Amino acid sequence: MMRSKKQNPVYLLSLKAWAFMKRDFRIATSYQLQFILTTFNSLFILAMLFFIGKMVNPQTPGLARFGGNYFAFVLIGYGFYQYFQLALTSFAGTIQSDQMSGCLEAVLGTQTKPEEAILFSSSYGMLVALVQLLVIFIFGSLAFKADLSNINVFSTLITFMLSVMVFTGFGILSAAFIVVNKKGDPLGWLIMTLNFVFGGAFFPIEQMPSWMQNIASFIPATYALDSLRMSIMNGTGIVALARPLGILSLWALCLLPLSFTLFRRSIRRAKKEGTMVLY
Amino acid sequence: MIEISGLSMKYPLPRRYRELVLGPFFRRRVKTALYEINLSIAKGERVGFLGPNGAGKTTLLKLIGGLLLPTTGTVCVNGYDTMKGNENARKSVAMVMNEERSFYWRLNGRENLEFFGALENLHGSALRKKIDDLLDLVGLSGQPKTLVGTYSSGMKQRLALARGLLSDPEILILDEPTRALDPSSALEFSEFLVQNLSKDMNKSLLIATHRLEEASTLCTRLCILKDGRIKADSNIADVKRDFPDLMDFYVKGVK
Repeated sequence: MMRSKKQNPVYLLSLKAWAFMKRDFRIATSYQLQFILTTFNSLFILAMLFFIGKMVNPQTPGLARFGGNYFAFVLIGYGFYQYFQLALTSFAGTIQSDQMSGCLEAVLGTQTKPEEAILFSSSYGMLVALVQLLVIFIFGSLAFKADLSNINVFSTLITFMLSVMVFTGFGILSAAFIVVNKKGDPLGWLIMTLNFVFGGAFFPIEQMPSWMQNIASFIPATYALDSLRMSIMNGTGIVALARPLGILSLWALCLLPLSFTLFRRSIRRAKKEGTMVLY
Repeated sequence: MIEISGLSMKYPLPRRYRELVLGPFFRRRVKTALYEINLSIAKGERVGFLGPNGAGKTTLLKLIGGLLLPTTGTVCVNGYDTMKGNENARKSVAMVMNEERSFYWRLNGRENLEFFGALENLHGSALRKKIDDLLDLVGLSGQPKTLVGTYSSGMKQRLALARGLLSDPEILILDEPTRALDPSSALEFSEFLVQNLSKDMNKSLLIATHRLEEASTLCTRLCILKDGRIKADSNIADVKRDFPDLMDFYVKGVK
């Protein structure tokens, strides 16, 4: 027997996702200045990076393969790294804020699964961050003449989606940790620091000593940022990016199921220990 | 409808630094909130849980509502074990807790209900109509734009009841439902619970309260808990027959 549209699980899930977005939009617009200040902050940092870029030699190892343009290099690194950082921290942040506002138990007492609640809880934040990312890119190319005209839109989108999936996996792992331990999330801190230092957001990893480059080869941000730069600055297609995209896919395939399982377990543990409402 | 057998609940206590250093692999100390509870509640019953602070009333209600999972024993709601079939068990239960902090304070009452309604799989015009009806029912329809953060405690309590009724549950769990209400609102609220929810809609009501008077008017059965154990469990007719002064029943129960 065919299900009606109103009983279709995908339709119901999309309505739930929409409800979370509407909730967060309403809350965010009650703090009108936040979006503007965050965006402006990013634009000032871009200006700073532009002037730093003037001091960088275009022949620097690792930079030459992107045409020696440090500003475009760092614009992509900084913009996307900020986005990945948000994907990494927003899930744990939402859990913490719902614990503190007392809403976590109310949300988990409804007919919505914990993994749905955690996934949708950050969708608005990630959408806003995407808008901020676009603003940064538009500003960078208009005001500072960053050349992004070679972009291969398809491979950029694929790389971006895979990278977001990987960092979402890390973010949900971090949220699972917060459900159990409330504060002080060494896992989130470690992932963020490793990706920040070794991922090559601000400088080519070729600048690092070989032992650090070896570590960088295990860090997903390395592949994410490198592939994004290749797609945007050099117009590289997905066939040429098969290796880094394969590695990102592997990370996503392992991390997403693992993170959802651990998150579900953390909720179960909090229910057994009676610590759901504690923070 | 609700079958509780051999239910115990132990909360692990947080470790102190001294314990972490001297015995990092020792088992954590625990506080036992409920001991070996056995209870059976039929459809349509209105059960009042009385007892001093820390007796385990809220823990028991949260276990029935599936918000906590038992250390040992089982809680079955409509045939579903809350441990193994938590989602199914929760479908027929709604909690109306007295926590003021369980709403988004930057949203108004309607927006809060819209959000929680969507999480209960309600949407569209059906959800809007339900919210209109419930806001009317709890007397909040005149506050469409008021942010929940500026609500009084009584208004938040009413909104919590409206949220509890969104999913049209068979069992409604109320933790001190009239604590924040003035006497006339409390009376009106009690009448609404008994007449509309219990008699007209045949919902089961589980109510934790400290007010004996309220328990005697609201409930058809009273359970007294003390130190995590059920000390007395009688239907209200027997209690009223044996204890003309309800205080005597309570004092005997908590002794």
